Amino acid sequence: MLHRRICTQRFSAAADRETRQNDLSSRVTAFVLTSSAVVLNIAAAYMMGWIARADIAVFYILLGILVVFGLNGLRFAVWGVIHRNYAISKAYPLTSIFFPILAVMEWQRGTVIEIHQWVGVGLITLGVFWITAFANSTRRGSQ
Amino acid sequence: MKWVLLVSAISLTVVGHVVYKTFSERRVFVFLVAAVVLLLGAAFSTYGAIRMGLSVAQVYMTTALVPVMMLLVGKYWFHEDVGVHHYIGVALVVLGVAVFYY
Repeated sequence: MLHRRICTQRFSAAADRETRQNDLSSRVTAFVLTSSAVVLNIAAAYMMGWIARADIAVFYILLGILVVFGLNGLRFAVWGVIHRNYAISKAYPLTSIFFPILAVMEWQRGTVIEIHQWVGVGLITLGVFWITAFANSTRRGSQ
Repeated sequence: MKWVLLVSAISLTVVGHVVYKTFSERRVFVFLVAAVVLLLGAAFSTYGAIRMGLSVAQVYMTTALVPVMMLLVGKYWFHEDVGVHHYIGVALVVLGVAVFYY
């Protein structure tokens, strides 16, 4: 009897550990995928800014715009994987970090961003986070 | 002109996503082609807006209005449920864009 209880406890502990590891691994994968989507978005924005400012031939402009389109398409595909495998409410809010990162990058590249614009960036980030953080709760509620 | 291009970029992005969603529901190939054309148009408009003098930050901060418009399209076009929380987020984004341009 005692032996069976010990075996059950050990099995239960092992199962808990495995569940925790799977959960952690799932979260890490979701984080990596969502971060990739954000990085692709930033890369597309950076590329678009570069080709719009550079004096280059029309062929390279068209090529650049197609590359930006391709990056956005890739981002779309990454989002497809995220939508299929993870809860939107867990993964999507992270995308709101795109806005402050882009603002900081532009500021470092020499664009003047005034204090009220930083406040605006903060509000936009909070707003996008807010919209996306509750996306899944409403979907569940509607079912 | 740059503002027209910016509005056009955002509108084309929203319509492109709506058409893509229609494609993913009905699997009609024409919708996919239309979505690609619309989103390419959005990319060209974005390029034009930056080329005409808007900063990358200005253009991409304004794209925060895309999820807001998608939310409204979801509610009124696809008849999805939209909660009070969403409206708070929408208000924050709109306020943020307004403060950014103030």
